[in-house]
Amino acid sequence: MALLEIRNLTKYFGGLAAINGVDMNINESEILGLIGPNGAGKSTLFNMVNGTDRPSSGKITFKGHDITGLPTHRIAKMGIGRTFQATTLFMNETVLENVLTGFHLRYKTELWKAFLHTPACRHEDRTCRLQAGEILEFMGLQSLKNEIARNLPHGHQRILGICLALATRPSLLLLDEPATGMHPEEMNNLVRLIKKLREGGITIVVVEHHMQAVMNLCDRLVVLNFGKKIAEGVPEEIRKNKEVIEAYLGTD
Amino acid sequence: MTGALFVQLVVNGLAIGLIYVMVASGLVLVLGIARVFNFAHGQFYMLGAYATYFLITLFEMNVLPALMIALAIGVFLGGVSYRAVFHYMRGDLLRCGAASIAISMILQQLVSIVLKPTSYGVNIAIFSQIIEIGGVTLLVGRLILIFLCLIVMSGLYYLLKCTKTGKAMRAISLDSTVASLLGINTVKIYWITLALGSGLAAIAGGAIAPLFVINSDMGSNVILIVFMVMVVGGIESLSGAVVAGILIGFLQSFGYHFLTGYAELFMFCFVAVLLIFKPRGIFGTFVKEVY
Amino acid sequence: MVLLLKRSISNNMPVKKLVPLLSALVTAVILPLIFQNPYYIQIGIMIGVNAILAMGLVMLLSTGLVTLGSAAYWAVGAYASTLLVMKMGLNFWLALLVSGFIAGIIGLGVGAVIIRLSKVAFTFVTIIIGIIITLVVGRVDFFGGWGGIVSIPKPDPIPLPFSITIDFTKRISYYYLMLFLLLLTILVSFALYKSRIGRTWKAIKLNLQLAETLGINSYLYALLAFVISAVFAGLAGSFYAHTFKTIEPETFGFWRSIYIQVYAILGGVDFYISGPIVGSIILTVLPELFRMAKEIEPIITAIILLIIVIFLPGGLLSLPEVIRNSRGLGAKENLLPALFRRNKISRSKN
Repeated sequence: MALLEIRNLTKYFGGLAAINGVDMNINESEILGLIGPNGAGKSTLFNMVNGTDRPSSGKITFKGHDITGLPTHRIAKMGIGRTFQATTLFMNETVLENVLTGFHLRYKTELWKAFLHTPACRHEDRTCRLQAGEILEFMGLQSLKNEIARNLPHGHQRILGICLALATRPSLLLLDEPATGMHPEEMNNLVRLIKKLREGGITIVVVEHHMQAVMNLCDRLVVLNFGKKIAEGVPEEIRKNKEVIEAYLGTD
Repeated sequence: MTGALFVQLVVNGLAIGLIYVMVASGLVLVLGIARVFNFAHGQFYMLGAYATYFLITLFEMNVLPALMIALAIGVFLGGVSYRAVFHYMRGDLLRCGAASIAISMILQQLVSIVLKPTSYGVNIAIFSQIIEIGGVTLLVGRLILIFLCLIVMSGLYYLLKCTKTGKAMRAISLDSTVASLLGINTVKIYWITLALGSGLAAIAGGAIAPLFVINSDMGSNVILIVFMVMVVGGIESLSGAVVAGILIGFLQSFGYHFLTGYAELFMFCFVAVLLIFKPRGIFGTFVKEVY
Repeated sequence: MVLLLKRSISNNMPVKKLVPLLSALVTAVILPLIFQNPYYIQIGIMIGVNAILAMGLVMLLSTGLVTLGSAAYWAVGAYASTLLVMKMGLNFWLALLVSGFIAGIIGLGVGAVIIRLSKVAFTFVTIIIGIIITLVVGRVDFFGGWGGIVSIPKPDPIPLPFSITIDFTKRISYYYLMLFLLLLTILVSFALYKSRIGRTWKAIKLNLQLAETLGINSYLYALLAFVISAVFAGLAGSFYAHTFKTIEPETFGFWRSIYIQVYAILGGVDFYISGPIVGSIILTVLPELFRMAKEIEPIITAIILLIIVIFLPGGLLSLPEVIRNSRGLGAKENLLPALFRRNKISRSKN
């Protein structure tokens, strides 16, 4: 059984089908690339897996559970994390505070204890701060931990977005164009980090336009165009796939 | 209930309802296009009423020119309020709300102080005439009111659907960033919207003046009902405001006749229940920012 | 909780912040002993009531929700407490607690339904609910009708050891009761804001979608804020009823809710505790200063509000920060252009 199964997923916006009868599987511990021309529906797909949008029809199963149409926070709790196409952070907070917000799901002490600031609760606060620091260290941002998010260079902001998603301890990570606006060096760093994450046991789906990074990074590719899946396979095959080439060249 | 009574209540309801529709439409436009929450909208309505009243009684103007001037006053006030205040806080609804509440308080108090007696009523010959249609006695005034509102709303419809400005307004309500990228002068449209919306309120007030008693409270009273209309219709939907406004007009007309004292309570509770089942209003659009 | 205070005092709060806080507290306590004029004490009491109401509203505001119907829960508390004491013979202190509880329950019921609406619809509906409650207590005879209820009994005396009884014949006792409730509200608010509950509220306000993606159930946390603010209002209502001895529907109407919102905005909505207090002080005292020109007073208040909203959108308490920011703009820069510029730059999202 695949980690995530998508069956016959369809999403209409008005009369337009942004996603039209898509079937796909995401297998555990793989890095899957979701590619396609702009407007193919990749972000919409993410939105539906992550709970931001409700599918018009179809079914999404995660670890055997039906998650179709569940609210976002439930899905996050079940272990799906996500970054956004537009840099989505708490801009006026520090880097550490940003990541710490993501630790919300990890807190085990009850709320009334949080209200009373019991020792157990404060101990948990300290632990979470340490763990947040560890995430930052893993991703290479620990030196910036007291910097205000807004002041970070764009590439670092994108990585911070991934740190936030990591804070929720996801088993499946959806990265929406993480390399946007990054220069080659940053991108190589990103690829390295994503591979490191996979070694840590996280399954990753990446939407990306930078073909080099995609070919380098992904075990498998799924290609969408106009809301439909037009190809699926290893990068080598996809690269030679006629339909895929047409899709990209045709939408010039 | 006799057929005649029913028709009278319907005409009454339609007249009141269409007034609410006009005022609500103004606010829907301002909120949906300019993203400004103008609490003083009710006071523009009141000023339109007072202006019309004084133009008719003191300057002995005819109704139509008086209404035109009321419209102009509303347009002027709307444009000025945008330029002077709302331009700096567009989008921040709480801040706009606070500023506009301040403006509404100032306007209401000023009118209340300057014009000492609190209520005014005027009688215009043609408006108080009675006409008989098919055995039902109706006030001509109500019919004129309905006719007037229909003309104004048709004009609004034409403006939005067919003119360039109207299309620009609709584009902005969908996505203002894209609209400005398309070369639309968004700031100009914003103050046009505010001027237009306030003008609608003012002309609605003016239309009311020959028929009902006006007082300095009428602004705050109408704005509450307009909020209800907007919620029921789906806040950013113009067609929703039309349907909801007429609906609430009927509720008020029938409610006051049958329930007198409890009419208001009934109306509000009806609205509350409606919202429980249809929280987005009748034509509410899907909103992403929902808790 | 005691540890929280101790910890804040030693860690988070440098002496700089502590001194003004303590002196404010001491001042509040000894003020009525100095100015024994009952009129002033009455004003002090009103400031307290308004501050509690405003703090409740700010708590809800901290999640990003704007309510214009907060006076409704104040009314619920006042009427519930009055009826409990007058019709059921309950002890005031018990009625106080029960009223707070009732206001909370009603807040729970209302909030559960309306928090799911869009932000703007939410605000409009709070207005409607506020009006409904005012109409209910105004029209339904059980609640005294438009005339309201008069001759509400004063709070029962509190027996203390050593045969001292605190009774409520003198105005000053009410003042200290108000102060107690105010301090309670402040402590509860402070504890909440400092905890991860407060951090979650902040996250919800700053970026709802991101918060949800991080697993935050925004609905529940918003509901929590809603209920707590209703409880604060309910307690304030009960206190109000038994202090002023009469209640009528007019007092709790829509304009009251507007005023409460204005207290919060005037002080500064980002200053969760000091903001509402500052706002309440100014807007309770101001009308009293202009008692003579009773008709002009609303205009003056409105003009002040307008000026603050246009030039100091962060509220009065943001003035130090604005001054600090304007300093960095060059030698010749003075405050006024800085204020203007600050506003033009804040072209917020659509």
